[in-house]
Amino acid sequence: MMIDRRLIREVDWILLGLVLLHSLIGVFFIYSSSHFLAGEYYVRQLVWIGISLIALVLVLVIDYKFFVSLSVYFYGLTVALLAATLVFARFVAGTKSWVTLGLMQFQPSEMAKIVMILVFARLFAEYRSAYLTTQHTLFALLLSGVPLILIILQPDLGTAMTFLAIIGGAFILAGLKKKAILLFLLAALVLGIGGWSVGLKDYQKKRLTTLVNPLHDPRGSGYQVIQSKIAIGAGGLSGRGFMKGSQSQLRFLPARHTDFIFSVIGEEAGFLGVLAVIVLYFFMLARMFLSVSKARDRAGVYIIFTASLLIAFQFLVNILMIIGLFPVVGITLPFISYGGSSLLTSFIACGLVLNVKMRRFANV
Amino acid sequence: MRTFYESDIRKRTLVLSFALIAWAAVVALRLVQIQVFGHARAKTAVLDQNRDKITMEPRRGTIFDCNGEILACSLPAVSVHIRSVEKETPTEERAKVLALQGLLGLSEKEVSTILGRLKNNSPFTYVKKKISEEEAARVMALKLPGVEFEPATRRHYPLRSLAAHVLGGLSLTEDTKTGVEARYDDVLKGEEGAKVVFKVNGGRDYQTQVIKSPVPGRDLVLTIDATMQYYAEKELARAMAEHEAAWGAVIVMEPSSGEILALASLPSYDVNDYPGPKNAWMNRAVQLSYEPGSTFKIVTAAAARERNRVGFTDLFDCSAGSITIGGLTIRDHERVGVLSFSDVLIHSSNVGTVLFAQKLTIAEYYDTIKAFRFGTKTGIDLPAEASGLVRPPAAWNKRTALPHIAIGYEVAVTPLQILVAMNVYATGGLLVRPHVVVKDEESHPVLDRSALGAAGGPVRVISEKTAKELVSRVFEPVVEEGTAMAGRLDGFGIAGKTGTAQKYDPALNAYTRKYTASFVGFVPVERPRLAMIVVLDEPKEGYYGGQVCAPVFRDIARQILRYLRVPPERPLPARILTAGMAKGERP
Repeated sequence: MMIDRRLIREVDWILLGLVLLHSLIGVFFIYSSSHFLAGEYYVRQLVWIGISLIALVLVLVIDYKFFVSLSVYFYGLTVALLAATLVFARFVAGTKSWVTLGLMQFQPSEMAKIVMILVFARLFAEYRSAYLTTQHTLFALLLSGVPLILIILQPDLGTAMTFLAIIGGAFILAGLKKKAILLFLLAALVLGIGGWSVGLKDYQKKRLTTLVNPLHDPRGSGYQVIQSKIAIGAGGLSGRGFMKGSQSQLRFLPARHTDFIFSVIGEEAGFLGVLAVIVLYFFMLARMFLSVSKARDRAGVYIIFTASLLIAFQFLVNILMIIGLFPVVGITLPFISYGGSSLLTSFIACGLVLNVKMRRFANV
Repeated sequence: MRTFYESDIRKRTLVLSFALIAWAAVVALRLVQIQVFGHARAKTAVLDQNRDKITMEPRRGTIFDCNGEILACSLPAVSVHIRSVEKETPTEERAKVLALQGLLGLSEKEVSTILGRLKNNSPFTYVKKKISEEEAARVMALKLPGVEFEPATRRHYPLRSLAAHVLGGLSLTEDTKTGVEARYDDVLKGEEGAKVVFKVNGGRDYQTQVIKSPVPGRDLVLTIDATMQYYAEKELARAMAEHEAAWGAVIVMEPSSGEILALASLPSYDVNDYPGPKNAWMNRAVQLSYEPGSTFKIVTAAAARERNRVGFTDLFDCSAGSITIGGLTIRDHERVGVLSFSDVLIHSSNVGTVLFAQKLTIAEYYDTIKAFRFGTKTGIDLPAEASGLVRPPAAWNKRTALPHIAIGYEVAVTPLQILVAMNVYATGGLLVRPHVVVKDEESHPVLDRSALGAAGGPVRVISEKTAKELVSRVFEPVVEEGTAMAGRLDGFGIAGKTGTAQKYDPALNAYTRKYTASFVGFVPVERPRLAMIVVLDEPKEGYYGGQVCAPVFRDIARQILRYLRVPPERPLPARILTAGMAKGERP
């Protein structure tokens, strides 16, 4: 179907520009940190930005209500895919999260994030009281719990945490009673302690203990944090210059074009550069969150809020991880880190926000 | 619709905003902590892990003999070290080190040390230092991760045990050394250089900057002649085997300059295997003190003749065969009757020597001993030289000491000291300082000249007349008709003195029936080209210096004189020319 001219005028070009700006910042530092490797990562990232932009346009063209109405099918498909991944996927870096389809590799767990946003929009759209009832809470928990457990089983702690953030965000928005919040916290505590002793893999436990003391295992899991902090510290106030950071250029920094891209920025652009990126990012996040006021219905509110939260949570946690205040859990920096699946998810999430925002006046 | 947003949502958004502000504050503070305050420390950490400062070993100087033959040189070698590799399991590490053990012959202890260091994540451990390039190539072929190589040099002695005690040797790590290697270490070693290596994660270096180039060590030319050294060692070894001696020493010196042409001490060792067997460590030619016996009579004779206390024809009654002074009985090895001063020495009569020595006072005799510099190092440029022992006169027994010392007991000397003393006669009365490195004022300022006068030149000990007379009337006849007749050499006159010293056993507090046999002399008598001493300890078959050592002297001298193309100074005995001689056979 053709899109109405009025709608094009309503697109938030500033937000879209900010998203593209961050993607380009990402490409620059991906180039800096991987130009000496085979694989031309920056070119691949540019291609993925193109693909993601096309996906974003496709998301914009169709009314979000259509997506919301189809969310039940999406949900079924995602759960099936996640289950299939667990059964068929091969281990890559200790987890079963990648599915290969011909030439393409992608992570169903990334798709699950978007689907969850739509499912919550559908679930809470008709809900009108200020606080959630127990019945509703349990149903929502069950609905989000199934994919969450499948992701935990992969195991992909980072994605699971992001997932939890979306769930939590939706619940807070829907309104939880104080009692329920306390109950959740208690459950989280019990699950945390139980999970620590039973559920967590050795490498995950190590990541948590090295957060407290990275020198405990300087060549193992503490290595990444130590190298990241050295990189950022070496950057100083104004940085060592583009493509001049020895930590990234000499390969001391692990996962430097993916999860730890922010350390490269810290080393090469310094405190001022890091501050600039954070401020820009906050500007983008604020614009996304404040779009909530433009939503014409509850479904739109939920979509904007949870989609923004998805981006915000990953950004907040990734930065904390890089400066050694959070365990290394494999959460990327949306728009900036290298990686097709992550980029696509972030663009689609952003597309949903733009979609809701541009359709604030009428049913077109 | 808008009421929904404006009601509770506002409050919740506020909470969320506070959380975000808290996050931003924490992140900002942390960034300031890391980037501003931690900047210097992070910069050091960066350098620590991507830069190595490595010392560059200089090439050690080559040691040549006096004809330019290489006695010691440094060859390229390779040192192997190992780095711990990330994500390698202990089993893999073990397999790797065991593979190295197989190729490099590491001991179990070395293997466990290396594995222990790998386990502790030590960044750098030497596996084996200074292996040959061929060995290194075999290790490189395995392409073991974390195993790296660096160039080094290894000391090589192509003539193996030849001149072992002059060269000394060098341990693999070059921290222990002896001989010329030790004495001239500061000349040979050169100066270390340094380089900075920048490397990527995993150890591969991408840039090397030489801060200071190593300065190669300077070469050293010895006075030793490899050919003469070979003659000396060959003949000494043969005599030692023949007489089953405990040890032996030979020193050959150029009389006027003090250049040591050959210096042999047996048992010896292959310098490549320094330090070698314990019994072979000592350079007995310069490091061992012994009671010389009759060779010391050259000093007693000088003391008496220089003061003119005795004439060559003065007679001494030695017919008793022994003499007792203050409870000390001194015997001759055979009854000799009444002898002139010359004959006393030619036949090495102890009784006769005691009789003429008693014409000297203790102070006079002591003066002469000190003039010959006994009890003092000769100052040869080799380490750990012994100074011997001459007690001060105050410690001498007033009656027995002088006669006993006159025949070479109660003093300790080194073979070199006796040689230097005999050399006084070869030079016409001058004491010359022996040395093994060619004197070169420019390049070897390390020579210690204080040992022998300010100028380091020869010092007059006795008058030329005294020297000449004693040589022609005593020391030459020693070989022609005296105790060293077995050492006569056709065509050349040899001047010398034999010595057969009873060995003192401190445990028994008495002299034993074991002997140190020696012969010291020079040749040719008229224009001396060689001064030489031969010492054999505890020879079993015949123990007299004249019997045991004089023939060794002769055999070495004959070969060296021929090598030096010294023409015979006397007509060779006429022989019947036979057909066999024409073919090169000896009659």
